[in-house]
Amino acid sequence: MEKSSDKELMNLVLKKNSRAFKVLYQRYELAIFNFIFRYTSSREIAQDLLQETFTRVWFAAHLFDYEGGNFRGWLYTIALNTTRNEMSKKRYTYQYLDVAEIKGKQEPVHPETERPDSRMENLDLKEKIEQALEKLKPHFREIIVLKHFQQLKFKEIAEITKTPESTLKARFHRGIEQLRKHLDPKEFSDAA
Amino acid sequence: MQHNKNSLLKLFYQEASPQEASELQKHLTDCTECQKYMQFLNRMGMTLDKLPEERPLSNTFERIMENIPERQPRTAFVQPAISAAPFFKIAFSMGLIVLLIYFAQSKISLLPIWDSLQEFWLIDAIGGFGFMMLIFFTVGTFITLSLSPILYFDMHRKALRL
Repeated sequence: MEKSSDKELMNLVLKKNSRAFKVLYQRYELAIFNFIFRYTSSREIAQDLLQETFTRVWFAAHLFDYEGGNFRGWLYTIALNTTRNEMSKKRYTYQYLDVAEIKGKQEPVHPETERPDSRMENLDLKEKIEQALEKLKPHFREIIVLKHFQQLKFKEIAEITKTPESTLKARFHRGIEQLRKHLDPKEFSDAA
Repeated sequence: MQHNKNSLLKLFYQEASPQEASELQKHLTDCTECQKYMQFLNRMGMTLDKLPEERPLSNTFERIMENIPERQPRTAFVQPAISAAPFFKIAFSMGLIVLLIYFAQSKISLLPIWDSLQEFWLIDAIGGFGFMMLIFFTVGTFITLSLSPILYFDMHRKALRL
């Protein structure tokens, strides 16, 4: 069963075969989890939405296009819609706040070793990138995550997001430019 | 060749055709502006690649399967089979239709063709008003039956929010 194609497995999922469903889950869990995690910047939300996405796959198996459909694209569409719906709820408006400010409040300050103005410099690169991504507007973050982290083709992303390729590319350029601005200006000043 | 950021993006993510790629590579050797943009994409790409891959909880699949029996699939038709509202709607629509047909028939009966139509046996049997009612409901039923599969499918998709 591990070597079966996505479509063959989906045919079994349609008949409520949980073993086939598990194989499909194992095939895509990392991709979908990382997609949602990079989009939402929250491990807890990503965990919940990963479960929600696959639950929807189970219940909506009859809606998959078994003739010409692409399972990966269909799965990403479900994950994207699930994430967009969740993020549009008011309780997640924190995404527009200054993350560095929040983290600054949460983290203990060590006055003997750290000056307040140098706190940002001491954050490691991983955190800086995560913060920069979080500061992007959702449609810029969405295209960067789908293109760079998920390595999907622009054509696939256009189908998933139902957006023209030219718009997606324009968003990518603008998004990556804004990301550069949010990252350390010294490090990336001569980049673009 | 003009500076085209979209083409450079395709080259960077290896989506350009071999011919397109060789043309772009040729252009890149001469164009400092495009070289700079490619360097920028490279640097940003390398920076983003520093984010590690994250893993979900190891028991996620078990949690999904545990929740599935409790949750019913979301379908559109959860209303009771019979409710009072449709009957009121039907009665109101019927009244409106009868009025419309009565008005239409009174206008059509003024046309010269009406005299010859009245010789048709069905009109003779059920009257002009009855004949128009029959045509109206036949056409209406045909349209409703043709559209119902589309409406059903559409509602079903919306209910699942796919």
